[in-house]
Amino acid sequence: MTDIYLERIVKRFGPDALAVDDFSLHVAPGSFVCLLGPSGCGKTTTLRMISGLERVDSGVVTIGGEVFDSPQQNIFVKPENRRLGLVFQSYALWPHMTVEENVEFGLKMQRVDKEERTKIITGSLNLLRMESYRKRYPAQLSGGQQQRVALARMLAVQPHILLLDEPLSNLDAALRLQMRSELKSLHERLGNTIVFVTHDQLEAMSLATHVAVMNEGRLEQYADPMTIYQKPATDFVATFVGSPPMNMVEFSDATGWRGRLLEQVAQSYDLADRKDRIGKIGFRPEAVSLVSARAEKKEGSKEIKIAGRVKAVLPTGPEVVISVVVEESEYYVVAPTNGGVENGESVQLVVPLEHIHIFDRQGMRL
Amino acid sequence: MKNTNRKNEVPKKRIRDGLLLMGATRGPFRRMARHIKNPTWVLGIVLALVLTYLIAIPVVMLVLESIQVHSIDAVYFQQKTGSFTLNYFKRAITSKVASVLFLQPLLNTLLIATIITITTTVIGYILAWLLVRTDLKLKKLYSSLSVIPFMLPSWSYAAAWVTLFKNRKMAGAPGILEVMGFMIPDAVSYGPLPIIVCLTMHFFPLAFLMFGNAFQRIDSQLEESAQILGANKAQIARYILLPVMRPAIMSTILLTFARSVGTFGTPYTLGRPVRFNTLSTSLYFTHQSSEPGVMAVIALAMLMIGATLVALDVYVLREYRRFVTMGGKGQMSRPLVLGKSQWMMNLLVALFLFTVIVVPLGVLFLSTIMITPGWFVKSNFTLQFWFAKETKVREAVSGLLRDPNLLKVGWTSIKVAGIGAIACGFIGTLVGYSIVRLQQSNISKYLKQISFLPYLVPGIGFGAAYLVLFATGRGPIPALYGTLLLMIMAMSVMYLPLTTRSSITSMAQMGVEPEEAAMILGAGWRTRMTKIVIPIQKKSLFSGILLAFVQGMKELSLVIMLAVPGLEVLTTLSIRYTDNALMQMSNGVILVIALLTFTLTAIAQRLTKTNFAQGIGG
Repeated sequence: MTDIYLERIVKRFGPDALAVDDFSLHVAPGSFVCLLGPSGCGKTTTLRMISGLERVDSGVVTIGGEVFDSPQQNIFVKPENRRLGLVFQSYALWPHMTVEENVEFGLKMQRVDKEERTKIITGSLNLLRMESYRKRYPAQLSGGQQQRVALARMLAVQPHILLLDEPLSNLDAALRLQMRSELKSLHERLGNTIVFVTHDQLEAMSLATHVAVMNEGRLEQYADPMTIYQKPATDFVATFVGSPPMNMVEFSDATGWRGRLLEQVAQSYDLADRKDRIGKIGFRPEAVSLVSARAEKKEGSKEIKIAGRVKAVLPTGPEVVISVVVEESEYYVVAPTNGGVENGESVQLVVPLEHIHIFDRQGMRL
Repeated sequence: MKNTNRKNEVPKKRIRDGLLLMGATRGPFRRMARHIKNPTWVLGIVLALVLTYLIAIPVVMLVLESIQVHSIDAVYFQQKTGSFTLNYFKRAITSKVASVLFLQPLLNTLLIATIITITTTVIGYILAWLLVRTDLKLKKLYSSLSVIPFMLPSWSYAAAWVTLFKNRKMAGAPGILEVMGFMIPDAVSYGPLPIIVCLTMHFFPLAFLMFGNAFQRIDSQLEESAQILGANKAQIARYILLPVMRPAIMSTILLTFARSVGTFGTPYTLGRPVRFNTLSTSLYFTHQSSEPGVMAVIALAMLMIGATLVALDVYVLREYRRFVTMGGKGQMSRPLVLGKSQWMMNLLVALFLFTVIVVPLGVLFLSTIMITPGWFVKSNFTLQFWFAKETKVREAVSGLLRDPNLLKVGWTSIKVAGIGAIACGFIGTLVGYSIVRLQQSNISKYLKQISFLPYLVPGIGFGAAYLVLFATGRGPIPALYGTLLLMIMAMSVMYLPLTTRSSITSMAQMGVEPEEAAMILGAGWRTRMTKIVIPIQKKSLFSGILLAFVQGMKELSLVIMLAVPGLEVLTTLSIRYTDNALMQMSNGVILVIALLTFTLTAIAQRLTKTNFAQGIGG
């Protein structure tokens, strides 16, 4: 089993383009790690540095206990000698080779003999249910099939580490769901270490054993999916993960209802002396319950209340998203039913205190 | 039951009878009746007829010309004018003079075309790879410079070569190196070696542009996947890059071969002193010595080579369609890091471009300001070839810029290239429109094939065919030989592949929606054409016209057959000066042409904001 250590990696493309900034990560053997972040956050660059297609400017890349890239020690192992697998977003199948020849290529490069090659090709094509397409050219395959061939091509060389660069983003929704479950079961069966790049948080949450959330070249949080969701380390993670995103109340202007809210939160969390450090609070849409404004105002200390007006009711099928406007801000509520509220109705957002996330002025969790 | 079914089908098909007209109803009459009502079909049919007359009929006439007795030969053959004869073929293939007239030129042509094809392909491939796939510094600058040699008239290199390497064998001012005391052997001065070198310098930009475009379309992740799987650079080049590039390589080979076969100026300038003939020069000489029958045979041979190339091209395209490079999201193009070889490569590219641009243009210019080129003393420098009322070298010859004839000829050039290009642009747009809108119909396929034909057919052979078709009046069409109109017509047909192709591309990009929207709002066909289609295509039309214009200004092989005394263009004028051993004047005209094409290209690029040179590669 192979693990990956990235230590204080820095990568720039030109003087003003810092792609990856002091990034450290340990990928445990056999884990399925997702690099998650908006486009341009440096996740693909990180993956390419693991593969060796890109060299680090400073820092150390260690794979399986062996240093692969370290400018300080003047060590660099070329990608062709790293023996790992990498599947691109565009699949990058060689258009002039059949499915079979595409899969065979890596084995030829490793000088596996003919008989063995045939066996492995059949095996990996079978694994991905592409056996019957052996003689086809990539142009004759659908997107999902091309995707499978791209995977089979990399799995054939039995890499300990498999790197996937947004492999599902070119597929339609139904196929994406199917490939997701296939990837997960492949990982369980083969047990290799997988690093997966995506900007789709749902994909990351459902596939990964660990998620590394990246923003502007930095690591925001590295944890298992449930921790990421329930205890976001920064306000960026809190708003990036989850759909609709976490509702945020900012205290840059702490007057009126915001001031009262800040007071209440500070009181109940014993932060009264550090009140000015609190930058914002957040709560997930599903943690909110809606109460009609006409309902009796019962003073509870275990929850916060915000008064607003319903702007729209958006049923999605299994649940209903209700958008509520409070002054100039818009908040979302997710509930199993609309609970009888209508457009334009005055309501109260009620959030239990234990569901409130508090962030300081730098955006770090308090 | 069956009957009612059939009746039910009709309205369904009518619904589909929108713009695309993909399907055709059963029954030829119904189909025809419908087509005549549809202006797109009428346009398609009219264009097909016009192109048949302008492209296919000349070839048929050429065939007839080669097997019919000509009036000048009637007495000698003791046959009536116009009766069937194989004498011209015999003379070209089996007679004692066959070797001089046809066989040796054919061999020479194939030989130099093959070598030029190899050299240009190799140079173009390497240069395109360096300038597209690597992080070579200054590659933008190099790219724009690399196109220049193709914007020069084709025989500029030959002219520069002669100016440098000429020996006593040719009349007129001596060569620069000879003046400096070097003895130049014939084999270096004239014949196949310099022809190959000069044409390689002229044609490599074609290969460069085609390969450059192809390289740009290749996803660099194709190479990276191979690298991840353990392939080294050589293996990637061998197993991935070369096979993926094969379609581009094939079309480049075909195009350079065709252009090398059809070129006239270079073999004429460099071959004549040692009687080294190619098909194009032999064709020209048979025309000069009034042997129309043999001329037709030679022209036919050239057209046959062209037709073979067209057939090969069709085959190659079909063969490679199954693995078109797939585009998709997430494509990347990351340049290869050259590292230590960076400055070395820079030096090589810079040196190469210096040799093919600065040296020849410098030599040409230098020769026009020296009485004896190569003799570097102050008294030898002169501006008389440009400005003198009467040059001291030859009586009754005035400096280029004082010569009223130059102005007249220049104006003819602009008229021929300009009107030809505009006609070519509009016809090309209409042909492109018909091809895209009548997709999958036979008319569309026919238009596509025939409009593409001049692309790989040698220009001089085409010129010969036009000469034959329009030498005498036929039916309602008067004899056009020796008229401006004929030159313009030939020009607009010759560059039709250029404008048609760009029109097909932009028409396909436009889609049917803009036109359908206008249709819904009640616009008729003509309104849609003038208010929607042409305005949307404006940019592509404009750059197509300018591209054809620039090409037309430097065209020689086509017009050399159609020019007559009193109706000359700049290119033929330059050749005329060469014939009269007025090297400096000839070189001066080349520089005038080059200046015109450069300026026009620069203006065009400004106006259209496109990299206009890319169109040359097609």
